[in-house]
Amino acid sequence: MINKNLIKIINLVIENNDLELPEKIELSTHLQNDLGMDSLILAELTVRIEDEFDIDIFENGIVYTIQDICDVLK
Amino acid sequence: MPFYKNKTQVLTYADLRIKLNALKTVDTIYYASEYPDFIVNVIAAIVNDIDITLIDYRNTKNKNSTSFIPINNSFETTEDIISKITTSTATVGIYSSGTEGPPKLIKQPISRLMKSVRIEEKYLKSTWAFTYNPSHSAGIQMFLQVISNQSTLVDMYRYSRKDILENINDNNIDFVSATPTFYRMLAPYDFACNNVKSATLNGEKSTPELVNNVANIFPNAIIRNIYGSTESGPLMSSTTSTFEVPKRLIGKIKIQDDVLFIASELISNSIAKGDWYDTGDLVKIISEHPLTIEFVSRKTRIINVGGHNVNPQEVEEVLLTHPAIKDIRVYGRPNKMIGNLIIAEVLTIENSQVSEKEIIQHCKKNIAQYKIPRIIKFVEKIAIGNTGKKRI
Repeated sequence: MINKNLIKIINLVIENNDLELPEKIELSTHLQNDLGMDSLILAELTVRIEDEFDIDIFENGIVYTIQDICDVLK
Repeated sequence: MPFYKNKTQVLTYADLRIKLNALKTVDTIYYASEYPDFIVNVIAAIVNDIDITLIDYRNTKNKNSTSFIPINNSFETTEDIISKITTSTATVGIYSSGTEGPPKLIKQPISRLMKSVRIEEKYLKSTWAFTYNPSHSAGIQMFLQVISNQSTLVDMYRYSRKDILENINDNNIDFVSATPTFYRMLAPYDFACNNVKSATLNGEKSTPELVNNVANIFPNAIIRNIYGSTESGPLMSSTTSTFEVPKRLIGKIKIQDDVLFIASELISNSIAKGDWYDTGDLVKIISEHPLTIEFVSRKTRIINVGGHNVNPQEVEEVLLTHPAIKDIRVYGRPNKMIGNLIIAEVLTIENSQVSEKEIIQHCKKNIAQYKIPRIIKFVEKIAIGNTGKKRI
């Protein structure tokens, strides 16, 4: 299960940056390859996640997939 | 004749004289709130050649370091007080704005501050809007200007838009001198104050749009931008956003790597080191003859985003052209991926509606991708420092 608030944030970032909305967001979804996020958008995404969950998303290194984010949130 | 007025109190020139003749004074003066005793204490120190330090009460935990100094004056007229101020050997310790980094204590001799005071017929017994923090440089400069011309100060520092508008009209304000942030707080600009003769924008970079708006609300006023700093006092004045360097400053300013330097002789002794003082202001030369410059930003404000330099001032200026935006603060938030992420705090005009996406779209049309704020925070208030400038 992906956290609902995390899904909300991902959708907001996709919307704000005019990215193509994917059919489904899964744990294996790759932020750059599948969602088309560049480094600026990834930075935005992580800051929004940090604000919502009060956590340093890069604690264990760069995140690539939704799974990576979920691991940090745990 | 009132010297100082606020919502509840009036201090006349006669009251001032009586208080000066009776008072003990202090060497450290705390500015607490709208209270005329602060002003009386400052003037008491000046007329008695006592060096003082001014501290904003909200900024200090240690409030017990004041020592009392007995004084003995016998002023008979306001002119006596003014004449003593003009020859005062006192220094005033003022903390610089602290909009960037910790505030520095700068000791200014009254004789230096008096240099920018203009005593002229048009200022005599006029009324001024008091928009600056009384414990900082611009505030003290204004006391001196007003008292030297036996004029009246009407306190508006940290007042709401509604109170400011009422005050300007009810008191027949002649002169307004304030930061661009102060004027932005007056939006929406759907009113006019006909009695204001002059309005100056001071202490921060202004924009042509703002100058236009100020000209619309004060239709009979001369509008000027002023460039200066706590360290130097006012240096240049202009009716547009560019400054033609006055003849008296030729040879006393230089521009190196886009940074403006001013000769140390123009600077308060307590901080001048070497021949030139680095203002930290980035400027662009508009023309060489006559030398005309435009201010770009504060050097320390430049934000690194993934290796690109972003001038938040430029981003703010673009956003301020959006009709729903009243004021804005753009800053960098450290980020491990790209160095910094650009964030904007937005204060919208009352009853206007704008979404985060609309603001981002507005930026996309006008600035490069890496300069666009990635997160827009809608706020009730833009963080303003103690000198009435935007916190940066």
